[in-house]
Amino acid sequence: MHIRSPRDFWSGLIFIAIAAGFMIGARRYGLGDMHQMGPGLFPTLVGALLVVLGAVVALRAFVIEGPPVPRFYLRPILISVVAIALFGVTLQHLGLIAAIAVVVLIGVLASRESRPLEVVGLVVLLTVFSVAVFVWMLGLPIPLWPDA
Amino acid sequence: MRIWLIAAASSLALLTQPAVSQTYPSKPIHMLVPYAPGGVTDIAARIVGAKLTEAWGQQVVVENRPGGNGFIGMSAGAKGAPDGYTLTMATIGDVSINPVLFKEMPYNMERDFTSVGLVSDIPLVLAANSETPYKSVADVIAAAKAQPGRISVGSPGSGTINQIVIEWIGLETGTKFQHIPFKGGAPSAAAVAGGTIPLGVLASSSVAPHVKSGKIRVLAVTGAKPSKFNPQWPTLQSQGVKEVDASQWTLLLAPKGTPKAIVEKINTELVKILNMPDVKERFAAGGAETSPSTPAELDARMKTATAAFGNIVKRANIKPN
Amino acid sequence: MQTLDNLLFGLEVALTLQNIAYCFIGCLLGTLVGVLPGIGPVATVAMLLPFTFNLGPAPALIMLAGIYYGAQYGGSTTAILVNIPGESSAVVTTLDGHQMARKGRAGPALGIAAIGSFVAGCIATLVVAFFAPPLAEVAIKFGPPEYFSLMVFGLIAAVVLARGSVIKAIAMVCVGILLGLVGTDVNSGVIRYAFNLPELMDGIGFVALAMAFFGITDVVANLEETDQGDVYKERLGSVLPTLQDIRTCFWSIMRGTSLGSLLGILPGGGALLASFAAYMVEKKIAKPPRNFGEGDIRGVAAPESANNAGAQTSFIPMLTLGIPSNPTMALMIGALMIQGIQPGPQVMTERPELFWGLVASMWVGNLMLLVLNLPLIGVWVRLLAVPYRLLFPAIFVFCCIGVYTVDNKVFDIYVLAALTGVAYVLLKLDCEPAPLILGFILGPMMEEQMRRAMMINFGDITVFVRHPVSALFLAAAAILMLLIALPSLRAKREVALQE
Repeated sequence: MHIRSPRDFWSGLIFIAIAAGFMIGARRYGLGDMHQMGPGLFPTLVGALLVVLGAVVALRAFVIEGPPVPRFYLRPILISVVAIALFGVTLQHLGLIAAIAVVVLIGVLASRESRPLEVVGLVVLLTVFSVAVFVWMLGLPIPLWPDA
Repeated sequence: MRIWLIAAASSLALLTQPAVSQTYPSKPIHMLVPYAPGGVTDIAARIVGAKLTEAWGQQVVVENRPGGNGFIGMSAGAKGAPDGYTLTMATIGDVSINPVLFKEMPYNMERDFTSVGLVSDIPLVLAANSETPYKSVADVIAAAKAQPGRISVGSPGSGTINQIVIEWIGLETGTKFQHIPFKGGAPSAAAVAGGTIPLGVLASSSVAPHVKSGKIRVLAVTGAKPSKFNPQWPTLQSQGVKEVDASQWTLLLAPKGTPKAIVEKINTELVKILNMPDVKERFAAGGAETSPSTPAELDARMKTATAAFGNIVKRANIKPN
Repeated sequence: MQTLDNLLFGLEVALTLQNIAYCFIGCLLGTLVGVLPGIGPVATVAMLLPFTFNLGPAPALIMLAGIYYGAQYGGSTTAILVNIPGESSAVVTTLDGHQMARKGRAGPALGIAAIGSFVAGCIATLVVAFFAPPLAEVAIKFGPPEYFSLMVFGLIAAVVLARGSVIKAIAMVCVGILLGLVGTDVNSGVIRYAFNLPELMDGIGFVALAMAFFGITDVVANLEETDQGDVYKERLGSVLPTLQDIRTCFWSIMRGTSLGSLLGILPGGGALLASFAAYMVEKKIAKPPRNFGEGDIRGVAAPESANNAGAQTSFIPMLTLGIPSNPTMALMIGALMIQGIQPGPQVMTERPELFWGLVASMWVGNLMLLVLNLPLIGVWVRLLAVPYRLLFPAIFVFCCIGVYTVDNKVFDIYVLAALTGVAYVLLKLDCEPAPLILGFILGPMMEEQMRRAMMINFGDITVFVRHPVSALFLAAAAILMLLIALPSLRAKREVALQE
């Protein structure tokens, strides 16, 4: 057997994995009956449908020709995810101003075209704009500095 | 050595306390609301917050921390520094229902909070769609006895005081109802008004417009005393459903360990605010009566409610998970 | 003509200097928060709530309503420019709107969104004025079986949003439904798939999900291309839609407006469905069926009109039944209650100055928004001239702040980061995000209504076909399913024959 459409093959497997996860989780919630449908019934039904669909997509990949899986460039995606997560950590402990600096300084590493001097300017600009608009103008309750 | 240090520190704290309450508040106060903006609790916080700001010249910032049955806002309130600058506007559900309903709780009322005072009280009613044959509480109970578990009664959600009342009526009269939870007060009231379900235990404020338009009939209020705004509605107790006494209340809490002098100071101001005619009017617009109290009175009320609800949850076998 | 007299009376109220001023403040603020990705009108309205204590009810509501529909206008801006749907209704706008922006047609896309919204707003206002009481009756009679069947229809329609494989689109709808089930179950109070995290008890945040699947992954995809200079090709180009554009869109706007006006009156998710439904209809019936998904201007005009029409008619259930269609409306009800007004069928007769003043102010407000938004288009288009290496960190910052401010929860930022990873893999495998988003929104509602219908009817499943309206939706869903399945079946047979 030869996988002709790898994109479909892998997405089928992912669908089955997601469905299996939710169906296993649903076993704790009780199925109930048609009158009192339990909280586990609906996820089980949808999960079952998704398993079938995933299987069809994955098996079809052996029959229908499809394009290859495009290359995963690790740098942009990893840096983006890390930058966003660190924004959260920094915001919680050090406040908004530090968080903006962190997300911009790390985020720019995702692109090869960034220039150091510009980045500093960008941090200043975004900080001033965000503080002015979100905190002062809209009065959103965002901590600016670390809790004393 | 350590004991000495603690003793010294606490005596110092005692010494400085009056001073603390005199200078309080010297910076903005955060009032946490464990619910989304626009709800009854949020409005209560905003009305009281605005008045406190006026009285003390320090900004009272209302912060909504909605989510998770109030767990998120309540845990944030529990973790606040006990200095009077973090207050929590909570409901009966947060203080007396969740603790008996959930096995695992992210906060503990005894350990984490100290009472500041009651804020408001909203009466609940047992209401029927006007086209149904239910004209009195007796009709409803007779129907439920004829078909146990087949009479649908709506509520604004699972684990609300309204659901507790539905189960409570069933327990007191030896019957059982089919509880139908909705997502909030207005949708459940509209479902009764539109005839989707025949009955509901609803906040008096939610049913008011439908009562006016003749789509909903109020059968009884669920409190021990009649409602101030609608004294013509009979109480459940006067209709033969003994014991049942519940309403939806809102209250103000501070983190455990907040200096007594500060709690007293907030309570004094809160009572003053809740007695202002314009504040009363604002609350009345939302169907709520202001109910000023001392911290001790609130403690007693919470204790009674928690005990009663714990009993009902056990007997009716309500379990969230 | 009673209604015309009432409208004139309403105009008298709305055109006092004070009310015009509050309407303008509302529209201006609304546009601003709408344009900032993720910052919804909720936070703004909440902040202004104490301020409205001291206004009369009419100016208070006029201002808050201005923020609400102003944000609807502004919300499409980020969807078109940087592929970030700030709220659910803008998800559809990204499909063709952002493609237009990439092809140098951001101006016409923004322009037609504003014009479509304006036309829809004006017509929907008339609908509110003439038909509010009977429509409120319809809304109140819409029970669990009807909502369930409407959701079934909506979910099948979600498949139409996809460009590629039908099966994968259905699978993505299912994934969306499953993700939507995380959190507290309305019917039983059981908390599902939350891993004992209180932050997950209310489920995964929509804003985080939409930003992960659209905005952030779009940035990542752009960064993967070696030459980022040409993310926005042919940057210049006309700033406003041409007469030809408007002529192309005329019927799309009309269809979108009617659908939006109708669905907007259903408080349980009707307004959410409006933009999706409008896009689906366009894709199926617009002639010639050119290239939806690749920057067809009708794919912007129809959903934007539907969205704004729905935003206006959702005032009907809010004012006459007190049922909010979304959190912003819940706040407006709060504002009314503080003013001593209980929303209900009596509002129209007991508070005519409020009801008709609001209706008339919506007209005024829509005009203001048009005047406000058309000149802004030039500014937005010029924003795209900023080099991408400077634009993308700004997108990160605004997305993060936006996600945080929804509930003031840092946890939601972590959800955004995690979902970005998931979205990246799925998009690489050519699984489309739009059906997932619709499944996420509609799936949980469908479950809720189905279980409620079963509880009330003691497990009698025939209730879904015994109620005529429900049966109608189910029949429509079946027909739609056939329409979708037929072409792909035929295509498959051709492939099989060729082999």
